[in-house]
Amino acid sequence: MATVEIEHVDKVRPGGQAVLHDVSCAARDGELLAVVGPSGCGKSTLLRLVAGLESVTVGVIRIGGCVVNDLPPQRRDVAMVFQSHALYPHMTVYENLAFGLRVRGTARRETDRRVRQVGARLGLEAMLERYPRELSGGQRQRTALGRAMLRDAAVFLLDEPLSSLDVPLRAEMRRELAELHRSLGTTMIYVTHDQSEALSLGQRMVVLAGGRVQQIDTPVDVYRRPANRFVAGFVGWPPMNFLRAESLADMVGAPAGEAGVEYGVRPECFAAQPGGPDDVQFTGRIERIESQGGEWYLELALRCGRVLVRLRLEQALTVGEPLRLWVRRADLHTFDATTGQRVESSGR
Amino acid sequence: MTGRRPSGVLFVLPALVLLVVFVFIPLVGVLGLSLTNLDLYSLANTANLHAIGAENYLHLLRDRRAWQALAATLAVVVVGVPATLVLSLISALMIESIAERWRGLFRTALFVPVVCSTVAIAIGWRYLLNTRFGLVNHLLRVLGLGAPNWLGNPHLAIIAITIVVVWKGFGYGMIIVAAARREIPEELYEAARIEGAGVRQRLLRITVPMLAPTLGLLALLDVSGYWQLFAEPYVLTRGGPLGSTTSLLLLMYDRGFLWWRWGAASAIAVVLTAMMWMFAWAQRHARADWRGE
Ligand SMILES: Nc1ncnc2c1ncn2[C@@H]1O[C@H](COP(=O)(O)OP(=O)(O)OP(=O)(O)O)[C@@H](O)[C@H]1O
Ligand SMILES: [Mg+2]
Repeated sequence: MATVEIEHVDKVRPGGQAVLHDVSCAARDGELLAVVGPSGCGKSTLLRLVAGLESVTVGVIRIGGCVVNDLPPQRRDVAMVFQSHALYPHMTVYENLAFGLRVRGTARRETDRRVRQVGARLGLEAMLERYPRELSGGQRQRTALGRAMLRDAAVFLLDEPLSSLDVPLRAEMRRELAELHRSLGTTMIYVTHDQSEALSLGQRMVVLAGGRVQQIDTPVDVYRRPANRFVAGFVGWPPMNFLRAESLADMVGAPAGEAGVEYGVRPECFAAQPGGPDDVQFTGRIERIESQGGEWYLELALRCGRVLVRLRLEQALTVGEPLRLWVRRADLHTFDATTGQRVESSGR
Repeated sequence: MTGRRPSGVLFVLPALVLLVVFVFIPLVGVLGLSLTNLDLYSLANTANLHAIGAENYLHLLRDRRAWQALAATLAVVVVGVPATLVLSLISALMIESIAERWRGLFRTALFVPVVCSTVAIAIGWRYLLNTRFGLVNHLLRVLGLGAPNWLGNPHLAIIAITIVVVWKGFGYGMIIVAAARREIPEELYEAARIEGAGVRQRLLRITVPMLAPTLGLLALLDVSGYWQLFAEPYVLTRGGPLGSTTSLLLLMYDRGFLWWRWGAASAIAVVLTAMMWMFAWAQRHARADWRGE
């Protein structure tokens, strides 16, 4: 068990390409820290820096309180699960699991006992003699996890471990991972480009974009109080609607229109009835309707633009109809239009 | 099984025709010839031409020179093939690990012998190995190791031939192995490093086993190539001294085109082919690897 502290880390690639800029974040002991961001933002690079597969250009990385900048990967006490699983194709599942123990010179009987124990735990008993190419995606995934578990490391690094699985299996493995984390109690850094994975799995999450940290918070807080316009648009699905301040004419009861701000409302925050006296009221015309089970996805044309709305509503709706909706004041996010930073509205 | 369409036959037809004309017909012809006593006399007077059954083969069994040629050929194969594979492997790994800008230069330098004419190379080596003026002996003399008569000593000559053969051959394997090495995902090595595997363990537990199918294929190619050893001894030693470097193919050539005993030469050709096929068959059945073949 250990903490991982990343302090003011810059990474510049040999070619001169700057990938990470002044990244600071920390995973607490036993915490599952999710790192999320769009493709190419430097998530994998960050993980590889912690693993020691690449070296930091500037900054310090500490694992369990010790600076590890100059330690090779095998001495950092980390285990890693790669996006592609990186199973050794010429070895059976058993040999894949046993690899680390063998190279570290563990006694044969001890190796056998532990491999079988982990294999049983992950439901791989019947697969031990198979080669990776004979496994399903989920079984490969489990083998890769098992290999990391046998490393007995203080820190688990997971680089998009579920991205190669199909959707139902991904949901299942996500649950298994959460369960595994609970029972192992190991510090985990979990990289993903899927914000819903980060929201559901992370105890805290780091939102990364363009090689910079945008926000570090619990998933609930990132969702409720995104630090800037990027985070607001990236986290949550369907994405948040943004409205210029000039569109205030559409909203009754919005805060006095300061110039140079932008408002954000999540599609699911609209309600058909006012919930309280200071709710903001939107009026528009229905442009498009899509029903998904018990929910409606509406495109509502306001005078200044369109917003996407997700509603639970019994009554039938028709295109072209005017519709009035309400949003709680607390669900109306305000961002500085030039810097994109969150503006905390007073009175909260 | 999808239905066979007539167009498929058309596509394989050219290859099939070539195969029949240049492989199957000659093979049957040689097999037939090997059962006769065809030579210069029976050609001059066909009354002398007889079918003699397995006589040519039985004679081979009693022929000391044939056994010597078999031994010489086997020696080159048994020593040369592993040496070639090891050199191919080492040079490929070296080339893949040096800086990109030098890679092309080294790769070309080591590959040049492969594309050079064997005869030209053999002639070059004859100068290099010359007892008095050769560069090899000059270097040995500088190092104080004496000046052996490379091509005149029966024991050394076969070694010299093997060295030349390997030197000419390993560059080809190097290119193939280097390409196969590039196919191994870097992540496997990264995973291994994290798990605590050092350089030696990564080599022995990942690189070599991952390259094993490629090395096996190269072994097959090298064996079949070296089995047909001919040009190097033909140019360097003309099979001597004392027949010590006469390969099976050279023996066949001598019997057929020096002594005009085509029946006897055909028997050698048949034996050579049969041994080659047996080896290829064994090789095929020995392979059951992680690729599931
Ligand atoms: N080996 C490399 N050589 C050069 N540039 C690289 C290399 N690997 C990554 N990069 C660059 O570094 C940046 C960050 O890459 P990284 O792999 O960390 O992104 P990521 O956030 O993991 O993306 P993804 O979600 O697609 O995996 C990208 O702009 C990428 O182009
Ligand atoms: Mg990545």
